[in-house]
Amino acid sequence: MSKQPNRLSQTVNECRIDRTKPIQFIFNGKSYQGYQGDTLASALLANGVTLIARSFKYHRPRGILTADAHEPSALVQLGSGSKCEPNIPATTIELYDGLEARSQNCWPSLAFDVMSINSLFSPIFVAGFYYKTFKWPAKFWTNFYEPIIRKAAGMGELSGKIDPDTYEKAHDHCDVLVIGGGISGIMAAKSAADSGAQVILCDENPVLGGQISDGKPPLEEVSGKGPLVEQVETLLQLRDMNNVRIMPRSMVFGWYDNNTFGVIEQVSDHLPQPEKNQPRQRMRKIVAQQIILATGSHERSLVFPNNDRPGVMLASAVQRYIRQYSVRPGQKAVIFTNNDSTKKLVNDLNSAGIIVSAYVDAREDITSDFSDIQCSNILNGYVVDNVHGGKKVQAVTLRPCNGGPLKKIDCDLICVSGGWNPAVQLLAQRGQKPQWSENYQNFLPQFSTGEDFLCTGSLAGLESTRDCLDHARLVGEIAGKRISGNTNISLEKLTSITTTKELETHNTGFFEVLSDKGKSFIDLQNDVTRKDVELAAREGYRSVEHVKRYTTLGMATDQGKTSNINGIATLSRSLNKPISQVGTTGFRPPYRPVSLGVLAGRSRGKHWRPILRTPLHNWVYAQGGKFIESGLWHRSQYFPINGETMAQSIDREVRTVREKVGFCDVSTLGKIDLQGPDAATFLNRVYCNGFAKLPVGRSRYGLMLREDGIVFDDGTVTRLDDDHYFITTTSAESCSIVSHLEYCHQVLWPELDICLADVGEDWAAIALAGPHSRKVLSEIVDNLDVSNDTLPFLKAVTTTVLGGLETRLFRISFSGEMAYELFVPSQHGADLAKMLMIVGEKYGIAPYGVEALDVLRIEKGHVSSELNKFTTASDLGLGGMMSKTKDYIGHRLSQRPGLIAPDREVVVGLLPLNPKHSFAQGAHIITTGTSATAENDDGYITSAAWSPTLNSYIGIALVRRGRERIGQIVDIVDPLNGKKPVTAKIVSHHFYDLENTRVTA
Amino acid sequence: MRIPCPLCGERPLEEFTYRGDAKVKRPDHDAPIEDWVGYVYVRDNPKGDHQEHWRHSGGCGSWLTVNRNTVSHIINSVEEARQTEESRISEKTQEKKLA
Amino acid sequence: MSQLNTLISQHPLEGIAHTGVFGKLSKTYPGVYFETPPQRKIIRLMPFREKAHAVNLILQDLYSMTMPGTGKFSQKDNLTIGWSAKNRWYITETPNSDTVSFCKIKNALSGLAAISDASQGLISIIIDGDDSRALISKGCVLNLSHFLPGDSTPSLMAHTNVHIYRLSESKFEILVPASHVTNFWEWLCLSAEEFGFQVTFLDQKFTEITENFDHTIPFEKLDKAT
Repeated sequence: MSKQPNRLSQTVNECRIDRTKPIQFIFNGKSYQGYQGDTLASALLANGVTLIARSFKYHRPRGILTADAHEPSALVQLGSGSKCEPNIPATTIELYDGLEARSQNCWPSLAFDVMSINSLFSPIFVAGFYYKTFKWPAKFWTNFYEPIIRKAAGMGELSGKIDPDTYEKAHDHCDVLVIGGGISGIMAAKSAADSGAQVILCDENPVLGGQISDGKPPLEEVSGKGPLVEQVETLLQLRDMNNVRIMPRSMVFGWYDNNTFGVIEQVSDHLPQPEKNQPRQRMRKIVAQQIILATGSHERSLVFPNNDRPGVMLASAVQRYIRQYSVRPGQKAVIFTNNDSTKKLVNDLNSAGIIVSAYVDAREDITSDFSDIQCSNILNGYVVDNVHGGKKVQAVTLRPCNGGPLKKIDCDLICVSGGWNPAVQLLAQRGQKPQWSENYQNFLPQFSTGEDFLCTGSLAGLESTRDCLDHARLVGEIAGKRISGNTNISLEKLTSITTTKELETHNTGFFEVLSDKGKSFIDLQNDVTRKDVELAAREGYRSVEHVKRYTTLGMATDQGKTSNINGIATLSRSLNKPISQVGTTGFRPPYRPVSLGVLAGRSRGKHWRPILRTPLHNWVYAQGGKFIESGLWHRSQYFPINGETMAQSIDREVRTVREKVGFCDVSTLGKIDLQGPDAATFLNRVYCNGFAKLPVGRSRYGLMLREDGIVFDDGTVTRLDDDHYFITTTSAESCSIVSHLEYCHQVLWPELDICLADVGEDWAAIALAGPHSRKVLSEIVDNLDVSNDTLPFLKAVTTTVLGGLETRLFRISFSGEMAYELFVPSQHGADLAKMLMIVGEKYGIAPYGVEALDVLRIEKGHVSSELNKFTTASDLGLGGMMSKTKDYIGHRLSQRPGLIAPDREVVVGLLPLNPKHSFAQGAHIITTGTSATAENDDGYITSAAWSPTLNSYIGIALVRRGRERIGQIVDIVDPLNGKKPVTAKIVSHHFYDLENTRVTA
Repeated sequence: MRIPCPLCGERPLEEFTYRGDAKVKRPDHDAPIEDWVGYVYVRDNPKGDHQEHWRHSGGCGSWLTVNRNTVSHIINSVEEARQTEESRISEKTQEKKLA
Repeated sequence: MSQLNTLISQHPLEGIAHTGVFGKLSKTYPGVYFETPPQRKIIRLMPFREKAHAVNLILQDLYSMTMPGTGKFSQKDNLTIGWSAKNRWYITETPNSDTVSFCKIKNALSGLAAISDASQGLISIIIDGDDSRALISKGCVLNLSHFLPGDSTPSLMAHTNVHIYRLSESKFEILVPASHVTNFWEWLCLSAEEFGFQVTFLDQKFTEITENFDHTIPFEKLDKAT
C-alpha cells in the first residue's frame, strides 16, 4: 500500500506544503502521513480518505466540501484529554506531528453509524418539527422527549476538563487597517504604507496571497511576468516596511463602534503544544482611523439531489487542493457549474491526471467561448438530476433542461460552482443591508465607500485581476491621503473602475435543480434541505429572518457562508418574489466562532479579578492569620493560635479586646483628604449631620444619604486644621463615595473652592482597642500626653510614634471599648503592627480580625450591615442626626411619607430565650404562633453572632414597628435553610455598655 | 466605544463609568416635592441625541458632559461637566440681569 | 527604646519580585527590563481656585520649575513635576536626594494649594527594552504613537488605575497603587515571558527573600530564562 496515493508529484504552485517535513497523524485510530503545511483535510484527501463525518440531523455520510474555514461538513473532534476540542473544520487544522483527530456524531463508527436510521424518519424531521410534534402529553417534554432529543442531536463533546492553555489580550492602534491579505489587500496595504501611514494587514490564513496562493489565474501568468508576480514582489516589500505590521492567522471577527475591531490571532493553534511562554491565542482590539476591506468572496454550492455525498466539492476547493497542496481529490471528475469561473479548473484537472468525464453547465443561453476547454464532453443546458453512491460518489445522472434522455456518467468527484459571494459580513455588522445584484447574482455591499472605510477587490464586485489591482492601489492611496488630513478626495477614479469593470463569471442566476429524488441540501451543517425552505414558505413564513430561524438555515458554526444565498433563492421562488426584495439576513459578530478562553484572556483562576492586599498583608500571613475575601480585598479574618478552631479564635480575640487590648488592620477604610476654604460648607451639604462647627482636632461620626433619602454610608470626619479635613468611609463604599464626592464637587457645586484627593493607598490604619489600649499607646507615642483629659473620646491629633513615624491619632471606637485609630504611612503599617505586639505583650495584646470586629460591633450595637440600601437614618435609630434646616443631599426626599411611616422595619436587637439557640443573617421574624408566610413577615435578621461577652447568641434585626415592641417575644424562622424556629425577645440593639462608659474612659 | 476626554484625549469605554442624564438639575432646597421626585426618578428616553454624564474613572477622574446619539452611538461633543455647569450658571445670571 | 528606632518600611513587592532574567529569550538579551526603584517622595499638589499662578511663583523660587501643562511632565535634576488630573500634579523626587521636604513645601504653599503625601501609596515600576511597547500594549489601552516622551497621563493597565510617564522612546515609568501592585506585577511578568525579561532592584534594602513568604495565594516562581 503506497503512502499518500493521491499526492501528486511537485506542482508549480505548491506553496503550502514542505515535502522535506513529513508528518505522522492519526484519524479515527488509523495512522497516516502528510507534510508540514497540509491541513488535516488536504492530508486526508492525499491519503484517499473522503468519508470524514456524519451530518447533524440525519447522520448522513459526509466528506470535505471546501478548502477553507467555511467548511460545513468535515467537522472533527481534535485532541484528547483536556486538550480535546469538538467541531473543528478539518480544513482549518494545520497538521502537526502526533495530531489525533476523530469523527464525531457517529456511533459505533463512522462507517457504520446506528443513528443514520434517522434518515428513515426524515419525513417527520423536517424544519420546525419540534414545534409540531412531541407536544403531548405536556409534561413528557421535560422528562422524556427533551432528554432523548438532546442526546440524539448535537455534534462533538466537551472534555469537561480545565483548559490547560493560556490566552491573552492586546491592544493595537493604526492609521489604516487592511482586512484581507489577498491580492487586493496586499496592493492596498502597500499603497497606503507608501504614503507613510501606519498600516496593519490582517488575514485569517497562515499564508497570505489569497489568489496567488489559490492559483486562480492561469499557470502561465505566474511563471512569466504578469500582475500576479507583481503581487509576490509587493508582498515581499511589505514585509520590510517599518510602518507595516502583517498579522497572519488573525481573523477579524467584529467591527465595533469608533472603528474598534476584535481580532483573534492564533498564536500557537498550529503547534501540538504552545511554546513555553507563548499564549495559545491572543485577542487583539485594534483601533483604526481608516479601514480597507478586502475580504474577498467565497464560492457557493448548487442545490441538487444528494449534493452532500463525499466527493461533492466546490470547484475552487478542488483547484486549491491540486495547485497548493498537490493533492488529487479524485480520479474521475464531473464539473457542474452556472458560471465561467470553472473553465480554468479543467486544465488543473487534466494536469493532475484526473479524467474530466463531463463539463456540465446549467446555463442554456450562454455567450461564453468553450473552445479553450480541453474536455471532450461539454454539456450546456444540462443539470445534475441525481448523485449515486452513499459513502462516496460513484456516478451522476444528468438531465437536459429542455427535456430529453438522461445520461449516467461514472465519477468519484463532482466539482460544483454556484457562483461567488462577496464577504459582506463585517459591513452588515455595522448596519449595512447588502444589495442584490442581478448582473453578478450575489449580494454586494450597500455602500462600498464611507468616510472612514473603503472596499476593494472582489468584495467591491470586481472580477478581473487587473481591475482588482488597479482599484486596490487607488484605495490605498486614498486611505493614505485621508490620514494626512486631506478630506476632499474625489472617488471618481474608483467609480470609473467599478462601472467599467470586466465581468468574468457571467452568472445568469441558476441555483437549484427541481427534483423529487433524494435530498437536495441547502445548509449542509444543519441538514436543511430545499424542501424545508419550501415548507416554511407554505406555512406562511415570509421574512427571510423568520425562515432562517424556523428552518435553522445559516445558524450553524459556518453561518451559512456556502448556503445562505441558495436558501434565499429557493425562498424567492417559493414566494414568487425577486431576490432583491427577499433580501438577506443580517450578520452579527463574531464572523467565525471565537473560543471563550480567548475572551477571558488572563482573567481566569486567581487572576479573574484583581486581588487587593493591605499594607499589613505579609505581616498577617507571617502571624498565621487567615484571610477572607471582602469585595476585592483580602482581609485578615481571624488569628488562630495553638490549633484553635475559628470559633475559638474569634471568642478569644473578642475577650482579649473586652478585657485587655487588641488591634485590628482597618487599612481598607476609604480615606479622603479634603482641603480648601469651602471645605466645611461642602461637608455640611454631603452629610446629613452638621459639620460647620466641628472644631480643629476633633472627629465626628458622619452619616451620608443618597439623594432619594436612603442611607449611603457612615464614616468619620476629622478636622486636622482650619481648612483641612480627613474623611473615612466604610471599605465597601470607598470607591462610590469618592466618585460621589467628585460629582458633588465638579457638577453640583463647582463654585465651592475645595480640593479632594483619594488618599486610601497612602495610609495604613490600625484600630487599637481595649481597657489597656491607653497604656500601650503611651509606650509608642514619642511626646504626647495620652491621658483622658488631653486625649478624650473623639479627640484627634497629628503626632509621631516609634521615634519619628508620622501618625494621625484619632480617639474613636467601633468596638465599644476605649479605642484609638492610628493612621501611619502605609509602608510602615507592618512596623507598627510588629511594635504593638512587642510593646503590648505584657498587657496581653493580640491581633484580631474582621470576624471578631463584627462580633464586637454587634455587641455594641453599631450598625453596619444594616446599611443595606433600603434603610433610612430613622430606621437605623440615627434619625436624630439629620439636621432639620440645612440643605443636604437626601434631605427633601428622606421626608417622604413612605420613608417616615410608623410601621417601617426599624433596627432592634434580638436575644434568644435559650442563649445556645443560633440563627443566621437573613432569617425572618414572625409573631410567635403564626405561620411563616409572607403576610406574617415582620422583618429579618441583619447581623448575628455568638457573643462571648454575653454568653449568648445575639442579633440585630429590622423589625416592623420594632421600637414599640421592645420586650416582645417573637419567632425567628429560617425555612430556606430548614432550621427550626428560635424564640427570642426583642431588645435594644445596644447589648453592651449602654452608657458608653468604657468608650469614654 | 471611544470617548474623547478633553484632558486625556480619546480613550476606550473601559476607562469610563456612566451615570445618566445630564440635563436634570438639582432643584432649590425649597422647591416643590414634585421637582425633587422628578430630579431623582423621572427621565426622558430620547431616540437620538442625549446629554449624559460620564466619569473618566480609569483616567483623570473628571466628570464629563457627553452629547451622544443613542441610535448611531456617535458622540457629538464632550466637555468637562464643571464647564457645562459654569456656563449654565452664567447664562442664568445673564437671564436674570436681562429680566 | 532603641529597638523602636529602626523602622524598616515594607515595600509591597518585597518577597514577590525577584531579581534575575526570566522567560524566553528570542535574542541573546531580554526584550524587557523592569526596575523597581526604592520608594521616592511623591507629593500630590492641588492649587486652590485661582491660586495656580501664585503656586508657580513659589515653585519657581524653590525649585526653578513650574507646573507643566495638561498631559506633560517636566524634569530638572532630581525633580519631576507631572500632570496627573485636572488641577492636580505629582512632584516626584529621585530617591536618596533631599531637595523636596514635605513640611517645607506644605508651609510654603499654605493657603495656596492642597498638599498631601503620596509617597507610600504609589509604587514605581520602570519598564524599558526593545519590547517594552509591545508589553505595555497588552494591558494598556493607550495609543502609544500619540503618547510621546515627556507625556504624563493616568490610564488603565491590567484593570488597574495607573499613572504613566513616558521617559523615552522605550522607557516608561508606571505608578501603581500599593494595594494592586502584587496583582499587577504578576500580570506584568506573565505577559513579559514571551519577550524574556530582567528584573533589577535599585535599593540595597530590597533583599532577595529566599525563605518564601509563601502567601495565601502563591505566585508561581518564574523559571529562569531559557
